[in-house]
Amino acid sequence: MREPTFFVLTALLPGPLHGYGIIKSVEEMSGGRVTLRAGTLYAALDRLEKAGAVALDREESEGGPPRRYYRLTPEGIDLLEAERRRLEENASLVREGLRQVRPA
Amino acid sequence: MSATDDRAGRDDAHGATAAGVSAARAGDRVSAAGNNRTGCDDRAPGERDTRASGWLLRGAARLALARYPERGPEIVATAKAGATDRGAALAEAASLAVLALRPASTRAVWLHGALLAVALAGLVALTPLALVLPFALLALGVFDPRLAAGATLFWLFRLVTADLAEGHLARWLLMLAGLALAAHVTRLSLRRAAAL
Repeated sequence: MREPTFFVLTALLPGPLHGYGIIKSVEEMSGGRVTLRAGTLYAALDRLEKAGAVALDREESEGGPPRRYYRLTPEGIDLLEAERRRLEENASLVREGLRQVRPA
Repeated sequence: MSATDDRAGRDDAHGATAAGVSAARAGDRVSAAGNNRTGCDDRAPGERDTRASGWLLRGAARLALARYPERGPEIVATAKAGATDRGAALAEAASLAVLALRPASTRAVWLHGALLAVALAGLVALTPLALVLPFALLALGVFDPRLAAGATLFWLFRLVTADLAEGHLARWLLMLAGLALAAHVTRLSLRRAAAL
C-alpha cells in the first residue's frame, strides 16, 4: 500500500472527513512529514472508491463549492487491518535484527 | 478537546481558508487591473513568481474541471486552499495537472498508446532518426503506461510488417525480444498505476 493511501485510510478511521480535512489530518498525524497535495489525495480517493474501501458519506454546500465527506467502508477497515499486520510483521523483523547487532 | 470539536475546528479553518482564497482572487483581479500596459514589468521577482504560479494553478484547475465535471469544483477548492495555506501553488498546480492527465482506464491506456504508435510510424516515415523515440517512450513508460503502450504497439507494428527475407531472422528475433520487454514494462506500469 502506498504511503498516501495508508494515511488517507488512517485519517478516516475516527469518522468522515472532507478532502481538505483529510489533508490537515494527515499533516497533523505525521507531524508535518507527509503533506498531501490535492492531486495525490483525489487520485488516492478515486482508487479507494473503486476498490470499495472508501465511500461518499454526505455532501454539504454553504454557498461555496460543494464539500463532500468521505467515510471508511468495512472493506476499507479490513484493508487497513491487513496493512497494520504487514507493518507489524516487518517491524518485528527489524526489532529482531537490531537486537542481534545491538544487544542490550 | 473532543474529536468532534477538533473536526468542527477543521471545518471552520476550511471556511476561513476559502474566504482567504476569495480574497486572494480579488487581490489578483485588482493587480491585473492595475498592471501597467507599457510592457515594462516593474514588479518584484517574488510577486512575478506568485503571479506565474497562480496562473499555472488556474490552468491546472481548468484541466481538472474538464476531466472531473462533477467533483472538479471540490478538487480545485481543496488545491487552492492548500496553495493559500502552504504557499505551494506550483506544487498544487503540478499535482492537479497530473491528476487531470492520468489515464481513466486500461482501455484508455491502449487507445492513447495506439495513437502514439501511429504518430511514431508517421515520424519514422519522415526520418529514420525517429526510431530512437520508442526507447525514450519505454523508459518514461515506467511512470506512465500510455507511453509504454505506445512503444509496445509501435514495435508490434514493425514486427508484423517486417520483411523476413534471408538474413533478417536475427533482426526479427531481436525485435521480438524488444517487444516482449516493452509488453512487460507496460504490464508493470499498468499494475503500478492501479495499485492502492
